[in-house]
Amino acid sequence: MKLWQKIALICSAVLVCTVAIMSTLLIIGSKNNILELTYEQARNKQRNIASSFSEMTNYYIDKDNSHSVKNSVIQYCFTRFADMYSVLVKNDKTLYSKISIAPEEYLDLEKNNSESGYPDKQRQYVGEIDGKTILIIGSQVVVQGDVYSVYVVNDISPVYESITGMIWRFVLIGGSVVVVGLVFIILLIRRSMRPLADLKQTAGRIAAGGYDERVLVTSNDEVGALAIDFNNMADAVECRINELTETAQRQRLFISGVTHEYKTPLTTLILNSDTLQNAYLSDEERDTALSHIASQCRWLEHMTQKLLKLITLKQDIELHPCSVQELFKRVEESVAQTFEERGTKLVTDCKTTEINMDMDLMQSVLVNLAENASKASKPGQTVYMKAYDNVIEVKDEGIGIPEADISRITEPFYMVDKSRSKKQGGSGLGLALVSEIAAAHGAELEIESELQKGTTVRVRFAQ
Amino acid sequence: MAANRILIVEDDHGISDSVALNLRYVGYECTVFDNGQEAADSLSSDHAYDLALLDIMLPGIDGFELFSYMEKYDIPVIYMTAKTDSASEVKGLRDGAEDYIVKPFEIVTLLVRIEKVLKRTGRLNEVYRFHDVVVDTKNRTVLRDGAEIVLTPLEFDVLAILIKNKNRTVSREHILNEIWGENFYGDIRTVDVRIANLRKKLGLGDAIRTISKAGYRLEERKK
Repeated sequence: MKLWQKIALICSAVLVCTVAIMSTLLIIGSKNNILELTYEQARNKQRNIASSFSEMTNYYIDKDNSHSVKNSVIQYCFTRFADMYSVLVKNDKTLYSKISIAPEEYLDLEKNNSESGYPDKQRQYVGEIDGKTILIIGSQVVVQGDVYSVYVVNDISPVYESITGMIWRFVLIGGSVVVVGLVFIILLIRRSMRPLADLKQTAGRIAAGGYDERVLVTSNDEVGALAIDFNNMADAVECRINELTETAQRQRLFISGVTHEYKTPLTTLILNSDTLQNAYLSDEERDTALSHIASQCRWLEHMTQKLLKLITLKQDIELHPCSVQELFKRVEESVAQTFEERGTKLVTDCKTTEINMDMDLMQSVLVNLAENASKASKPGQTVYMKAYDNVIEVKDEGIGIPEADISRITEPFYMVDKSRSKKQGGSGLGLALVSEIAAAHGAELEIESELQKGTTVRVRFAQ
Repeated sequence: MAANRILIVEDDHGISDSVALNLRYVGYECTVFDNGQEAADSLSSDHAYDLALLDIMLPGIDGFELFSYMEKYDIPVIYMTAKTDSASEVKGLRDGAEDYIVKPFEIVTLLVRIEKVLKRTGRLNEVYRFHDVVVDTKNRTVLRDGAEIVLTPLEFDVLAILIKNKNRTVSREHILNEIWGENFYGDIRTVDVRIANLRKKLGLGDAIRTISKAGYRLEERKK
């Protein structure tokens, strides 16, 4: 069952109960009031008749009067006050009656009074007679020693009918109230549930891959708050998905770069081994083929090492305060041979004592940068390696990098001059590695270059 | 008849050396350049090539640019490249290159492609010489010392494969595939029978060497 149906069901149950209880209480109260009023009226009427009759007869009749005179006077007096529903009875003998009902049969005043001992007490009877609801009020009047019973018979069926009518009206009104109320409740619930339906649809669309879908927040109730939180969640998911997509994209590019880079050396290996196997070679030719195989294998090994470094670097590294002087010394030692072979000079200038770093990784950064600088320089030119504040800088006066290439130069396998770079043993991974290491140190890599004037690479550490 | 001349422009010496070596062995004449500009410059003085094998990533000018020079001298082009993206393949072929071979490739594949292109462009030298034997694959005739030798069609096919791959080992499977196609699973010994006949009929007893576990090789030179 849906939530709105549940809520509607609960609301309607509460509404129906409330209306029913209220109606019942009202009906019972009104019914009692009406009946009480009717009874009171009937009792007053009977009391008036009885007391007037008693007064008048006692005034007019002497105890000496003859029996027939007495009867005439009584008849006359009663007729003065009686209406067509009044009945006068004396000793089970009806003296005056204009109706078919004999009230003494239902309300025996003699017996009751003799039991309770109050002759003038008013008594009443309510009952069903001939299909009608009849109220009989009666009391006894004593006239010169004789006891008379004065009855007033009331047909109170119309009262009951009007009560029944009232009950129907209540049922009708209550029913309409319930129906109208229900319609309103359902409309209201559905209206307030609509944002939830929107939320559901949006969630469905997001699940289907529409990560940029959002919910329109229209209210500031709990549903609105939920929508806001939902949007926040969608933001987070979209952000994360984008990151993942980007990472996957980068990895795909990287892997396609790797396979592309492996193709040329692999071709050399395949062709030369095929030649060695199938062709009829002179010793000299065989040596050439073997040396090609050996050099390509070494190059593959070199590239694999760099790749491995690049990949394993993604794990966390530990930074310690290290002496920059010591770092420079190590770098100078490792590049000394390369610089000597190329006829370039390395000049260091260290104005910083300590920087937070991983000494081995930073060494490989500077060795990479220094060797790049040496390769870009002509024999006799100088490469400067400086440290100041939180910056380590490698500067050369070499051929420089074309402006269009600077932004791409840290991409894996990107080489400005591929064939020259390969001849110098470049893998296209050096600067990619440098930039990864710098990033792992939280440092920024700044590259400035001008063609034929030289290149400056700065590693700017976070303060 | 002169051998087919092939121009190779490839900056990786490991590849160009090996390709040139193998092409020379099977009877092509090769000229190798490792720089696009130098190759282009050389064309003005010598452009009598039957085919050019071009790398795409070249120092100087790249393979695609070099193509216009080849077009000028009507030299068919086969690209050799590590680029596998279809965009560059399409560009290469649309510009008019005859074929496209993706690194890493095998020598056998390259030889077949070169032969196909030469044949298609009507440049293939279909007369092969081996000592005193002259094989004309177009007219399917064999001369020894000027006298015609009668070979069965299968013997001729086997001889043609051996002579086209002169100085290279050819496997029995390769011979079977070339003659009957890849879906034929015949008795590999049928090749041995043809070889024995060829040795007898053409007096090539020593020249056609059996290379154990590999196949046969028609050897021209002595070490």
